[in-house]
Amino acid sequence: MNDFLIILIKTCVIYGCLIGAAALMTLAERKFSAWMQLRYGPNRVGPWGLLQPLADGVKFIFKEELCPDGANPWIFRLAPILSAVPAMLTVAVIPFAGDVNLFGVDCGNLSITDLDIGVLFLVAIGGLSVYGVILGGWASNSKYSLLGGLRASAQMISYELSLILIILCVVAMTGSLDLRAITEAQNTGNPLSWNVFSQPLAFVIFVIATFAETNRHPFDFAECEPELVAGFHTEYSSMKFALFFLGEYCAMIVMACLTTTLFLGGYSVPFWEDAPWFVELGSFCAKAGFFAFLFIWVRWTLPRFRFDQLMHLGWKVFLPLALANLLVTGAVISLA
Amino acid sequence: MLEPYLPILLLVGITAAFGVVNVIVSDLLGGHRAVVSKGDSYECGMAPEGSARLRLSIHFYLVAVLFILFDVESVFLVLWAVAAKSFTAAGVGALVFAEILVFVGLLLAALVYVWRKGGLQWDR
Amino acid sequence: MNPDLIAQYFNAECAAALAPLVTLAGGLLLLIVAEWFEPMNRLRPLLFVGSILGAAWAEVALLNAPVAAVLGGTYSADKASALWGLVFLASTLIAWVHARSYYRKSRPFLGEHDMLLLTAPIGMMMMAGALDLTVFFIGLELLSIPLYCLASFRRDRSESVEAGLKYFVLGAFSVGLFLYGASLIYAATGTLSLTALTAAAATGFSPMAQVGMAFVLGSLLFKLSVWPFHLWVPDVYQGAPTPVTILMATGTKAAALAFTLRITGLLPESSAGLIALLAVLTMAAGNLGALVQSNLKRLLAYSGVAHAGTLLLLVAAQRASGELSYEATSAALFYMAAYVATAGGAFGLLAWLEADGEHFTQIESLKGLGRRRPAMAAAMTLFLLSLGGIPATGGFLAKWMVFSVTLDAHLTGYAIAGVLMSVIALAYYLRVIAAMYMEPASDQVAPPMAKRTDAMLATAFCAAAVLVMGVLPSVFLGLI
Repeated sequence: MNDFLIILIKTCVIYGCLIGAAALMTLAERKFSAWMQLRYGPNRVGPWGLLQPLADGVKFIFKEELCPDGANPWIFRLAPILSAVPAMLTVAVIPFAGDVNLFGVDCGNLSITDLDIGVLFLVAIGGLSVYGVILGGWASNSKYSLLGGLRASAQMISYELSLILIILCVVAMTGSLDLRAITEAQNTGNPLSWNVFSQPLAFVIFVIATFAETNRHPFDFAECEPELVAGFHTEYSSMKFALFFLGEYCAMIVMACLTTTLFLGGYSVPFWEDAPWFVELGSFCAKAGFFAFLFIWVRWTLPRFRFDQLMHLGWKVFLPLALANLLVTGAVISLA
Repeated sequence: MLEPYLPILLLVGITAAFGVVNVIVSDLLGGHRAVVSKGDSYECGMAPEGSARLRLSIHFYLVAVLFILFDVESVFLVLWAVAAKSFTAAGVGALVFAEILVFVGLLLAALVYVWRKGGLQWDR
Repeated sequence: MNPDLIAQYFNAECAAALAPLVTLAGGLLLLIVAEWFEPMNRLRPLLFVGSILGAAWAEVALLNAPVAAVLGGTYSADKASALWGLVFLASTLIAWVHARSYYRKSRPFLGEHDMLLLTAPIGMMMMAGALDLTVFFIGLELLSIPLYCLASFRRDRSESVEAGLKYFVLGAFSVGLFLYGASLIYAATGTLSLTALTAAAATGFSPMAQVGMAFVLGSLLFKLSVWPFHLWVPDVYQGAPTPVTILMATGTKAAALAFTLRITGLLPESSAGLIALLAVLTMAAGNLGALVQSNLKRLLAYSGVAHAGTLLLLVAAQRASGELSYEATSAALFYMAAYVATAGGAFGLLAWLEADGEHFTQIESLKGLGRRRPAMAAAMTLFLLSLGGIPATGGFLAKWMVFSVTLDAHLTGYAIAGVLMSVIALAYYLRVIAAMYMEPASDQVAPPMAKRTDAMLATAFCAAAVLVMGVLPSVFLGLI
């Protein structure tokens, strides 16, 4: 019973933090964009506009639901849920810190669960998000939505290949699919044992592929406003729109966490092998926070690609490079 | 054995409830005022033209098929990647790697073939 | 990693057993590479024939040193499988040679055509050598998927597309039957290995496994084109490009037969009568259907159904007599070898005719062929007589062997019915011969045809094989 309570608390806390972080990230996006463009950004609701996401949420709930004529009402309502739920589920296998000891109670490792097939779970569940996007686009009965959904799904599946192959490089180096084992293999106190130093090419491909995988700028063709208004969620309003939005930000946060875990040693602290859990958590949040910030930074800095350039990059550059990287990694491991 | 999956089941429940409750609550609380042309699909203010159930470019279909091909490849590679170190420890690393090389070589040949045949070309 | 396990999968026996498959797969890979750049396309014939000959050489090597069971007992390269392999390779080669002249007007994706054509024998060999339902399933898919594509390869003709779609939908259905049956068998017995299943069948299958077996047999009968699963045959054979029909009529049938003979031990003993009844009904359906056809390709398709019936008689005989006898195996091999030469030759001549215009496959348009192209008409006559089972042709001895095996298994009534059916069959074969020699040419005659040395050689080879099998069968029987 006690164990179950701990599991319940851990799950709720981490899930709550994910939602909170996603909400904060929407605010951060607006703040940073404002600063980069010499504006103020939201600053009316709460100190520094901190309560803005809350106000947005309340507004969303009271907005009118629109369902276009000729849309498929059930799939139209199901799609945002299908898009948000997998993105939120993937956080389950991310290890945030080592063993947590709170007020003398041993709470186990700080993660919702440690699966021995963690990486596979993350890729498999994360891949389901594409259903929400394409079903939402199709069910809206709108041309922009349809094209946006199609583009988004083509892009997501194209970059998923490179993403998986790159993850396999790290998996082959560790010999495990467990994200905690991958972290522990890098947690030697020496930052040079982080995978980013042994797999620099993989790291670069991975970070860029995460941008495409989450439909983020400079690859946001699913909703590139000069061409497709708002892409697959053109027809969505109120909380259904918010769910798509939330799902996107959750996916970004999980991707940032995954990059940290795979390449930057996860929660490991430089030059301090047996750090207490809160230091480890701080280290993890700092690294993941940087990658989350990178998503925003890139969006307000770089111009957008063209769709054919994106597909060329995915199939003709990243896929062969990722395969080659995997083969070289395999050769080093197998022939050593 | 299935114990590590219990929190995931819990999380599935929480997230699904979150999604469903949000959609239902906003449906109940939000206003509903029927206005002519509110149900039209958005086409930048113009009256919608034609059906939105369009025929699609064959490229999307091709991407989907190629994705299946390479995704299945990577599923096979997962098995090897996890065991690569233990193969080396057992002294058959080179042999197994040679097999993987043949397997990946086959698919790379297929990729080059698709490339040469213009299957990866989007600007046509 | 257990070194014993590794040694079990990587040894000389294994390499020898898989050599034909690997040769074909390597040839396939080189064919893909040859498509990369235009100048390399010219290597295509060399690669195709080279890999077929290489695989044949590996099969001949296996004939001299057969391998019982490799890969953990899931694949066998015994003498029979090696001979089946040679039959498949011959069928593929004949189909390929005729394809070269068949597509000379519209040249659709010839490189892809050769790739798909070379994939099919890999699947057939896996089917013939499978000692495990999973291995058989992979072989079945490797054979079927290329054939679905090839059947609809003439995209400009609606019949061809229709044939491909029909074959695909029904083929997918039959594969579904197979998988469902295999899963029931697995649920009931806990194994998919034929060796273990045969042992389990000796003590009696549970009802669930028996139902599974019925499904598996049903899907095999579909591939064999047995009544009542034969309805797709005329449409698909007629609509598909004729060289592809050669492969479907000969190779696919041979592969399905090879595996069906292997699993007869899993069928209940009482099923022999039922299978023999199905065989006679199939012969009836094929022969009666063929009687009323005016299109030669369709006629040959129905004749193929009738031949499937004769082959099924062999399956029934083997089930009735118990174990896999030498006579039954050699009868099956001889029959299929003769059928590859005969049907391959006949369909090949049709492909030759058809390449100049589709309507020349009508019996009407063959009138007077004996005067215009005596050699061609003589070859066609030889093939038709062999299909009908006239003495001094391979077809006669093949039928004779099958019926004698059937009589040995005490299925006398069915054997007599089979012989009577063969007499009916003569009627429609003779009708075509009469049209070629006795009737004056109508206005729908075929124009003078282009000289095709390769097609001529293939036809001459088939004709020679039919004659040698009829007159000197010991040449072939000595191999078995």
